[in-house]
Amino acid sequence: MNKNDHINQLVDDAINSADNIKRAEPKPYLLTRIRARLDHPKETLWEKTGWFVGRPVFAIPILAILIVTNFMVIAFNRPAPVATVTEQLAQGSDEFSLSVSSIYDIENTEP
Amino acid sequence: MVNQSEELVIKLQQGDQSGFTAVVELYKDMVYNTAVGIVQNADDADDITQEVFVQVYLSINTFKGESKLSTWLYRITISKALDHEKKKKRKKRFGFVQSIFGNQENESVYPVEFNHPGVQLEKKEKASELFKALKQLPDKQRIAFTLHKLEGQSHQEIAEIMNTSLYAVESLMGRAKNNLRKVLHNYYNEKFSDK
Repeated sequence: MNKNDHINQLVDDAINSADNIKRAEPKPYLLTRIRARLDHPKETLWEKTGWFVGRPVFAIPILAILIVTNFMVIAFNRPAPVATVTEQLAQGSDEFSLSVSSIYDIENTEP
Repeated sequence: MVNQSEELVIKLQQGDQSGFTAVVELYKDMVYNTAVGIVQNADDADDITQEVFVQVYLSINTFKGESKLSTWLYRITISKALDHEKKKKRKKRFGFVQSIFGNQENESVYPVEFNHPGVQLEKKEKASELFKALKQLPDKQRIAFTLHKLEGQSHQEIAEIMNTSLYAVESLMGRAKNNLRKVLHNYYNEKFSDK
């Protein structure tokens, strides 16, 4: 018998190995397990999502990211420095000559 | 005259618990054997069997009696088994992400080798190789072959279960056998060239 014939024989044997196969049977107490499943149905998608999000491995990094983001928002959104406000006031007072207090001051600009 | 399965359906639809018990006892091996042939894993098949009967219990009122109860059960089993496989493939794909989040529940997605408990001892090795090859077939061919070989269903019954024509089932069976021959031929060829 050459190699090809031998392989063909093995192929036939493999295909025929499923002939007269007996039915496989489930583990005992199947009905009890089914009833348990009926009494306690599987979690819904939302319940699963809640469980997933609530796990420490997920919740702690998310909490940390939130805290860091909060600190960053606070740090980058501080009120404008006082100097800038003073500068703006000075500019405004120059424009409207707020520092001029009398006619004498206008006429005598020289010291 | 009302036959046994019709009587059981009526009992189930009336919420009779003894009817449900009888359905489980009568069809559990059929459902489990079909599931185990498709998913090739005893624990998964057990899980699918439970899911099938839960669905039967919850949706018995949608059963119109247009087909046999066994045909309806086969359809639910096949659908659940294929869904189960898809979920496993998805889990395998996202296994890396799950490992990052520390979910190590499903390390082994597919067992290396499957031994059907109903195979005669002297045929175990050959049957294992057949089941391995069977995994590589397209779903429809695999289902037709499984129903025929494992459940001993005729082509006509398979046509009813798969909601297709007799001609289509004969064609599926022919292609399934041809493809199995090719896969097995390549497998043995490689096995002997390695030696």
